[in-house]
Amino acid sequence: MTAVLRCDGVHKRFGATHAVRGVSLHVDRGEVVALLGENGAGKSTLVRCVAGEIVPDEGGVWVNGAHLEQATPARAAQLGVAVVHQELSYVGPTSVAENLLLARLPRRRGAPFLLDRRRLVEQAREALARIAPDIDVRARMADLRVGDRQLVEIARAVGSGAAVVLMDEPTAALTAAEVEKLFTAVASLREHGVGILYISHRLDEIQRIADRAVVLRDGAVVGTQRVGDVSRQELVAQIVGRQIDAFRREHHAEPEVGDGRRSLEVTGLSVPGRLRSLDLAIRPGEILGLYGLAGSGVELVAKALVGAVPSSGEVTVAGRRLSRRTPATCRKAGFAHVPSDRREEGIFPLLPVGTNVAIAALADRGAAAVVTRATDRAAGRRWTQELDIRPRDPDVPVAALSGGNQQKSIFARWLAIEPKVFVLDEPTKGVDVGAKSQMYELIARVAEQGAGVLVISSELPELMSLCSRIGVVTRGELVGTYPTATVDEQRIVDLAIGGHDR
Amino acid sequence: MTHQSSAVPLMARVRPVLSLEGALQSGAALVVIYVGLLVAFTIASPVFLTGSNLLNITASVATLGIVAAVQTAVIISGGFDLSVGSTAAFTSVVAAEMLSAGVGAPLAIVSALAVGGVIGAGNALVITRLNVNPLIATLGMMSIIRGVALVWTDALTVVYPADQLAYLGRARIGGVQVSIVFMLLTFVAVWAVLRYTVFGRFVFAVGGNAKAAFLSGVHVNRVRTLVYVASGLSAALAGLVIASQLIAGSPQAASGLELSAVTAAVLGGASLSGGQGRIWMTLVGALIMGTLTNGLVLMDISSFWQTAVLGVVLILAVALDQVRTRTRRKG
Repeated sequence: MTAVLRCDGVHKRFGATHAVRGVSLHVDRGEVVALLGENGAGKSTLVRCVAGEIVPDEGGVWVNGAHLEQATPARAAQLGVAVVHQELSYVGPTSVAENLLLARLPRRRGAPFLLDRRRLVEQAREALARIAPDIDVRARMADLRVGDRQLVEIARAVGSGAAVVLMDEPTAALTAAEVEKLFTAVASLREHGVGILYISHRLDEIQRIADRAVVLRDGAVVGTQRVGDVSRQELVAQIVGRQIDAFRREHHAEPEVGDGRRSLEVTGLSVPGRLRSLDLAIRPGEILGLYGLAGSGVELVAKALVGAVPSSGEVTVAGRRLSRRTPATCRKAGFAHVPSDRREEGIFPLLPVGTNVAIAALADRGAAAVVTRATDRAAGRRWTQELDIRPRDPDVPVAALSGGNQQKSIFARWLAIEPKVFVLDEPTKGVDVGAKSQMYELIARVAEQGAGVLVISSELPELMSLCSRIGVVTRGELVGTYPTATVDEQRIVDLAIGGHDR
Repeated sequence: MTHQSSAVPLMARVRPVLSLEGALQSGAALVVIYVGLLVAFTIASPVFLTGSNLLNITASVATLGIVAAVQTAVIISGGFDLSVGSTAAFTSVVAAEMLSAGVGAPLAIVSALAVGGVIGAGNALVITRLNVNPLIATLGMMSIIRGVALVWTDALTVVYPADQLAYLGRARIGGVQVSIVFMLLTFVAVWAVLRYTVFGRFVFAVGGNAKAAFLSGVHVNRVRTLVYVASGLSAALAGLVIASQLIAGSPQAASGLELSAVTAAVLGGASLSGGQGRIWMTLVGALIMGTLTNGLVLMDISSFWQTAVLGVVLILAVALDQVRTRTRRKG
């Protein structure tokens, strides 16, 4: 057997992050290899290296024995790499046939500027024959179902003579019937000697269609095995793999149970198509964690709660029901929201730290209120001092601060209005280790002072050490909430991967 | 309005100005350019540096200054208002029509201002509700308003009784034209709002990062709406000044005023990407443009060239903005 794809000692760093650390793997002709790993394990980075989107710092990628040098997507495609992205790219208003043959539309003999429609349809049917013979090539692409569009995309990728196909979470948006069609297509590709690198969180699917499974953790390969030789539990253990007790901190005392007071009560929170009827309750002083894999819907919970994305459901803050939820009404109700994307949604990069910190408190005073620069400066001085934000200068633009200090400024913005509930979305993303532990202390402190805290994080150890309970979101649903003392990381990841009883 | 520290040691504040980047950031470069311009024209023309000519320049930039002051706030909020020239022309017609119909001056003035405000609100509605890019929305509005003004008047100038409205533009207080006073008052008002109100902070916040402002509980659309309404009001004030200066309303007036206003603001350091701008530097920008025009006239250069020069200055100003952005990223 010959390898259609070989990665040899691939390293990739982004600034201080070492995303891929010396990964070697291969995919043989007609083989389906599953690539597994937690969020941030390095799967996407590796796939982008193979697809020619980014160039590895060290090591190399070989396709059909040819070295992918001076990597560009075009070069990778030329060597035989086809990529089926999570987000499909197609021209909606045109026909399936035209989409299939976009790069090499058949021309009329003698009049090369005219399209040969007859041959177009013939060639398109040929291209689809192996993968999805029942799709009408004359239909408009936009009128197809998601699954069918994906099959067309695969056919297009393979049609141009692909040796290896990369599939990134191909079943994420598919119905059960569509998944079956996809698997038939995968089987057909395999028969024709095409190699497939298949990325998915869904272990049940992998056990059905993959030959081998490669597990990545922290950017390195931690296991390669034939799928038939391992159990689901063993795979989960490899995926999680940490020394489970390493991060654990002693738990702060369970808050009084049963006095019935709630900082935050959520019933039936739903975002159409993404999140189904989420129920939550957080007591004053409690830190509740929410965990879910990428695409599970957990990333939407915070925005849905504060009304930044359209959602339905009831939210009650400290006994007061919010009739209309917008970030402004939520702020007034005592709701602090630290968004996950600090750069895009958190900071005002060019404004000074003082104004960045003061903005929520200023908003509380109303637009007509009179302020001076001293107002912002005083807020800046107070909070740079209290939260150890460096430099201790309220006048520098916040963009000049490190990630951790920026995050503290956003935290300070909310502390200033003394909120009753904190919703923290990925509070330590892109924050250095030192600032991380300061952030943890801060979170613990606001809880001790009586606020209810919801921490949404893809870093499980963080949740295990901070939270008294952890809720798990899978495919848009909260599958359960568990006291941290009664579960371990493996169990949580197992639940997050889901699909046991499906 | 940059927040410069009083706590930063003097040298730390002075040193950056000595570098090119520092000069660009602080606006010192603009003042130097302006002084250079004054010197050049003084050498070229004997009448340039006379008191009456300098007053001429200032009076000639009055309408520009009025709209440029508010345009600066619009640009800081991450927006753009190209409809101000048409709005000024339209409101000059509104005032003139009402006066010639015998309505009293107070009602004519209030009506003109109201029309300006409504046009601004229309811009805001299209931008915030229909999510149309501000450039396109106000470009469309510019065309609509100019068109309506032309249809209404048959493209003719509307004359009103000459004893009316003098105090809005052509009158003088101790030799200084009233229009200059209106311009300075507009600048002071915009400066005070931007610097001393929470609303002013919101304008910077919305322009700096609208998403973050929204998530912090700022009523982003409300802020945008008020900014465009203010811009419409400033255009109406400019229209009244024009009507007073011409003793007539003209549907053709103030063409190109919007580009001059944007140029002045950008020259002054307002960033087209929003979140940054210095109101007083916009005044210097407006003066530079008025001085250029005046100097070219004194040097007997065809007025057609002035249009071309305006284009060159606009492109240079935007290029300067790009250089500034780049040096800021490096630093």
